[in-house]
Amino acid sequence: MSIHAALLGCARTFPDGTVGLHPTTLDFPPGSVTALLGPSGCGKTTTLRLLAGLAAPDRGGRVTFDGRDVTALPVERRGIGMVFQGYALFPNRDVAGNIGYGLEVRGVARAERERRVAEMLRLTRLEGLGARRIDQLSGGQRQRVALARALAPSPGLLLLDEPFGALDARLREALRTELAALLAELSVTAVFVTHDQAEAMALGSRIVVMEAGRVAQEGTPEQVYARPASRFVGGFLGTLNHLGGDRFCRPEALRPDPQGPIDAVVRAVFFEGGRRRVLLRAPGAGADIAIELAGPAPLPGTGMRLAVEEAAVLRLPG
Amino acid sequence: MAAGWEGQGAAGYVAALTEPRYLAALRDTVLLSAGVAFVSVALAAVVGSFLARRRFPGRRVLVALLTLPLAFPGVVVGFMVILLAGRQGVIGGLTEALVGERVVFAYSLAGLCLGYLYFSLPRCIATVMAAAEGLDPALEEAARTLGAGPWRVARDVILPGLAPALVASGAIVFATCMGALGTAFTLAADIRVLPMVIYTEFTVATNFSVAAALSVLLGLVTWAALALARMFGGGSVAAQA
Amino acid sequence: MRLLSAGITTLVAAFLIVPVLLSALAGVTANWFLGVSGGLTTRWLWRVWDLYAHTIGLSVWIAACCLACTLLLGVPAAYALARAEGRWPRLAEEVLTLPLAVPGLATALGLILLWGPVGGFRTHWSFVLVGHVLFTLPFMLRATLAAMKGADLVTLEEAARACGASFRQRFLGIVLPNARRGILAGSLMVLALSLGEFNTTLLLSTPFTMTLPVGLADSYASMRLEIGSAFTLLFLVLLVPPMVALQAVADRVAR
Repeated sequence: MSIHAALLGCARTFPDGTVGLHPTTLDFPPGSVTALLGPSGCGKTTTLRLLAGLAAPDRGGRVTFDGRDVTALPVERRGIGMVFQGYALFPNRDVAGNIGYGLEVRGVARAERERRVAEMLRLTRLEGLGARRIDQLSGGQRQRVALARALAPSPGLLLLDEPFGALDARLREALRTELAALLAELSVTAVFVTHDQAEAMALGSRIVVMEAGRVAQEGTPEQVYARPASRFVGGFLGTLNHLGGDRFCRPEALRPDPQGPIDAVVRAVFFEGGRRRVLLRAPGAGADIAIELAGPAPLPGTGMRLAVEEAAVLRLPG
Repeated sequence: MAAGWEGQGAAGYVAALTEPRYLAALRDTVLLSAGVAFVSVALAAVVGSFLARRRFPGRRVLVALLTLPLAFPGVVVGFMVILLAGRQGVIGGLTEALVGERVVFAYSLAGLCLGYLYFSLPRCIATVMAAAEGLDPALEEAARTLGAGPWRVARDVILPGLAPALVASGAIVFATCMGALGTAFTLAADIRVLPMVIYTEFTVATNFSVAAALSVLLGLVTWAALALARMFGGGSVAAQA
Repeated sequence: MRLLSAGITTLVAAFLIVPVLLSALAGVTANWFLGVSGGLTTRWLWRVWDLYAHTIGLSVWIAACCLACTLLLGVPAAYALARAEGRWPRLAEEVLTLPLAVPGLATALGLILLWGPVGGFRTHWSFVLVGHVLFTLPFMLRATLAAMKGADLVTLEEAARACGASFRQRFLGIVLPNARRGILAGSLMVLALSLGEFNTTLLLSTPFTMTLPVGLADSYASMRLEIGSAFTLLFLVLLVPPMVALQAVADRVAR
């Protein structure tokens, strides 16, 4: 069922002349789960809307599904599923009415529709809520209804715009795990937009980091995290310590070592559950250096020497 | 004296509720107002959502022009109907040139309908536009990603979204038309709408008690219509009245 | 569907705009029956000015007085309702939400039956004013009340109290500025409604206390078509631009 989607040289200029997306080519293989990651205004939502057909690329850009050019195909005939930021559930329909809408529009017979809706309710753990009004649902339930509605017509491509944006931190993590399991089970091609790097790394089989309307880097979460292509990407995916010059490293590449070359002073200690994050000031470094410690907490103001694992040092020119 | 007044008042109510010509006037006024309300709302639903959702050059000027008639008194509207469809009206001139016969309908029920539509449409359009601008565009996009074409989107998303505004503006048009005197007064029409009947009973027949009874009746019918609209989800009826 | 909507919009726009142009044009043609080819003239405009100038003056005067009355009565009343809690204030609000249900004719009949016999009141312009105030007061009250409720006055006033403001300081410095949007909208509505009011005024006015709309009706009924048109043109020119300008000012203040 899953399709192979691609953007070929797609750019997007807004009516007021600002460029939302520079010419971009991206490939979304069948069954892949891609995270479009970046700060607000980086073009990630524009990319998603181009795939959906909610926005048209500038002249010359093409969108293909399984090699077929769908650039001119209106959104309602692309056969996609989409989960909107804020969910966009129809307030005049109950839960089952929302989930079954895509099937109703396609003219699926009532009995088959009801069977499918029941299946979706079970899949998204919403059993018994079919007759509820939308305003009687909690945030997490709404999110599940939005997902069930998008999946009910068995789309070949599932698009999610900040799917967990409106939820609190604990719910986000629970639903993230649920969605990951569901996507693996359905093996649907999925693309989701997020500004949360933890979400992108947990859910995506691939991450596309975007900056100012361009793709800054794409790759597996491990690749992008361990080998960022620029300071921007490195900083966006996690803490990046500046060791001076063009030398950077992740916190886990540094460890306390009485013989270490870096002479630093502890500035602050943050307890984070299983371990501690320690901020240190070192001469030559541009900003504070962060490391992670499992042992007893050092006192602020005490000196500490650090050694760096050379293989993990990143050389990122400005 | 007081007893005489009371007796007269009761007689007025009896007359208002039993005399066929008063009942006929009430029926005609209700039908006319309801018809105008329905047509105004239907047209405003199309025009209001079009103006709210599309951007084109000159749109702001057009919106300003369309809401201009809000400030016109009913008498002026009646006069405009005469200019359009009266004995020396434009429609008469056009039809005479085209088919050789002057079409004149300003002084009939059709003319009154036209006048009521004229002063109802701007208010309905303004209300629908405000409601359409408040609709969440993501709802429409969601319906489209699920496979709904333009007509389905209009039926399943836009119309339900506008429904409260449509009910509210329909009720207000109904209420305004029920009590409108100016347009009918100008057209000096041979249609006996209730406000005209009350006016003639009061000034020509000096039949105070019947006039008073009829205006209470008019108020009750109008109030009932507004209350009904508020019950059926038109919670904003009051806000736009 | 898009074409259909565009078509309907065009037709409706023509229906609303063409009559305005027609009446403006008819007011300056020498003879409407001959059309523009019969020549243009300002004769009718001057004639209207001679015959009906006093109705324009009276209408503007009554509208201004009506605004003053509704401000003095409506704003304090709205403030009281906004702060009051309990069943009766809510009931009062309910009643205020349906001013349309009381036909203007009924108001006029009631006033005449009640006050008609009292001295020279019946023939004085203030008799018309009373009708206008009764008709417009709910609109002012409601617009102001909505703004006051939207501004969460209770909290704002508590904050002002905590800063040591007296009642007078709070009312002038906090309540009025934060409700200004609603008061302004209500004022515009009162002016427009008063200037255009016909249903009540027709019965309340006498030949000496004729307002603009009643004068218009009089000209339509008893003068030739060109004079009625010229009067309509005068009405459009005199009243519409100030209304549009006021609306623009209101929009700016509201922002």
